[in-house]
Amino acid sequence: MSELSPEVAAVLETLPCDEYATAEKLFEQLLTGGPDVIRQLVVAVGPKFGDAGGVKPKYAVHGLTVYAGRPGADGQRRLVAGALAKELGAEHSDELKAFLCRQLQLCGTAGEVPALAGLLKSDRLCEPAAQALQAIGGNAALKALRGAQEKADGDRKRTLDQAVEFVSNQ
Amino acid sequence: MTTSHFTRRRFLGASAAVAVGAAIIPRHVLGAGQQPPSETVTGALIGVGGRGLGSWGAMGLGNPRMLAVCDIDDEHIAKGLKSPHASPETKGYKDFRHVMDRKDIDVICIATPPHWHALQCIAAAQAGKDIFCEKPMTKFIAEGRAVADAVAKHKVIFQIGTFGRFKSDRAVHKLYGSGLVKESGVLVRATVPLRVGRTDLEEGTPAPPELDYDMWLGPAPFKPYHPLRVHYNNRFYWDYEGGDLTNFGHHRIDPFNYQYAKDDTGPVEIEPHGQFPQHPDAVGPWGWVELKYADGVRFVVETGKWGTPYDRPAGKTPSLTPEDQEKLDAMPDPEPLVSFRDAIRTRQQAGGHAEAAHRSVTALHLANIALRVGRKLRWDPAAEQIVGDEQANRFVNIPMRAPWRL
Repeated sequence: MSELSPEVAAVLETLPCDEYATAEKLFEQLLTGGPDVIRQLVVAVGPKFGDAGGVKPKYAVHGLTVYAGRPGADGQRRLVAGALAKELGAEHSDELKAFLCRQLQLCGTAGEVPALAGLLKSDRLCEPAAQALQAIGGNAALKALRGAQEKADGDRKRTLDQAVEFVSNQ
Repeated sequence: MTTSHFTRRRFLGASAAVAVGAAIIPRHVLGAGQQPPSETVTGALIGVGGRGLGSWGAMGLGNPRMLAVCDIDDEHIAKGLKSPHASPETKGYKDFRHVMDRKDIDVICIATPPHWHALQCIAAAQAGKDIFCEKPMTKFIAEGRAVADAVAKHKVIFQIGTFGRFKSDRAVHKLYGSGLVKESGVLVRATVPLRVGRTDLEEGTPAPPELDYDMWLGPAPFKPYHPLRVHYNNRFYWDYEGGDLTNFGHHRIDPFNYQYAKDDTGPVEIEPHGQFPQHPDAVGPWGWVELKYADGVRFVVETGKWGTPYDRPAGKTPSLTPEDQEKLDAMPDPEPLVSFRDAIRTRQQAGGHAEAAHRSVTALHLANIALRVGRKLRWDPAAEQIVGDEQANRFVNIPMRAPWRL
C-alpha cells in the first residue's frame, strides 16, 4: 500500500480551499506527481463508503477529477482518468471502486472504457460502471455495454439494457 | 354527481360544449362554508413525511378528497391516514404506480425527495392527472425538460409548490416581456440559508424494516443506507437534491423569473464563489453565484455566510424613449396569473406552470454545477446545454439507476 508522501499530506491538510486560485496551485502541484500521487490518494480514501479518515483524500481525488476536467486541459484529464481507471484493476474494495467509477463518470473518456467494462460482470459495480460508460458515451462505450448485455441476467441485465438505450439515444 | 366513477375534472373535459358554469352548483346556493360536490377535487398525496401534509394544504383546493396517501415508509403512511385530511375512504400505498392506476383520482400532490419528482410527475401526466409538485421541481436539468414536455403532451395542469410569482410586479413583467428592453443593469439579490451535508458520516446501519430503502433510492445511485442521508437530511447530498440553493432558491428565483420575463429562457453566464473542491457526496459551503441573462439583468443568489461577500454594483436601470413608452402603453396588460384551483377548473395554464418551474430550477441547477466544477459557465438557454464545457454538461443529464429512467 502506498503511504502518503509528506508533500501530499501537506496539500491534503489545506483542502478544501476558500479561493479557486489557491486550489488551482495545489492541484497543479499534485498533478506534477503523476499517477503515483493519484494512487496514493486513492488508497488513502479507504475501503468503506464512510471512512472518516478518507475525507480529505476524497476531496483531493474528486478535486482532481473536476479540475482536470476543465476545458482545454486534455492532457491532465487523460492523466487523472487513466490513473483512476488503473486502480479499478487493483485490489480495492467494491465501495472504493464504486467511488472511482463516479469520478470517471465525470472525467472518463474512451480510453477508460476497457477498465470500466471489466466491472460490468460485478453485481455491485455494474451500476456505477455502466453509468460512467453512459456519461462517456460513443461507440466504444456502446460496444462494451452490448458485449456485457448478452451474458447478463437479473438486475445487471436491467442495468445494461437501460445503459445501452441511453447511449444509443445520445 | 359523485366523483367515484366520473370525476369532476373529466366531466368538465367531456362537456366542452356545455357552459362550464351550468355544471357547477354555486357555493352560495349551499350556504356559507359548504363546498358543492361538483367543486370537490379528488387527490392523492405522494410523500407524506416532512413537508407532505403541508403541501396538501398548500395546493389551495379547498378541501379536496384525499383518496390515497403513498410513501415508502410505513410510519409515514400511518401518519397520513391519521391526518385531518384523511377519511375512511383514504387508502395507503407504498408504490406510487398503483396510485397512478386509480381512475378516480384527479390530482397528484408530490412531496417526495426531489430525486423522485420528475419520474412521479411524468407518471402522473401520462395517467392524465393534474400535478402539484413541491419545489425544487427536479434533481437535474434534463428531468425538467422531460416533465415540461410530458405535461404539455398530456394536457394536464401543473403547479410548482412556490407562490411568490403571484405577488410579482406585473408592470415590470410587462416591460421586460415587451421586447423593448435591450440592455439592463438591474441586479436582484436573494439570500438562502447555508446548511451543508456531513462529509464524515461513519459506515451506515441496516435500513429500518418500515422503510423500503431500495424504493427510497429509486433512480439515485446505490449508496449504503445511513439515517442521516434520508428523510429531510437528503437535501444536503448531491444524489438527491442540491442543498438550500435549490430548496429555498426555488422560492427566490421563481418570482424573479416571472417579473423579469425569464419563464422561457435562462441565464447565459453563471459565476460561482464557493469552497473548492466541493465534497463529491455532501453539499458544502458557498458564498454566492451570479446568474447573468442575455439582456444584462443579474440574479445573485447568496448565503451571506461564507467567503468574500458579493460586492458588484447594480448597473443602469433601463429607461424607454417616449416612442417606446407609447408602444408599451399600447400593449395589453398581462393577465393575472391563474391559481392551481382555477386552472383545474378552467383548464387554463396555472401560474407556476411546468415550463416556468423548469426554467427556474434550471438556473439553480446551473448555479450548483458551477459550484461543483469550480468555474464560470456559459449556458445556451435554447439548446439547454452548457457551452464549451463537456464535463459540466455531464451534470445536465445524469444516468439513472435501472429500472428508473426518463
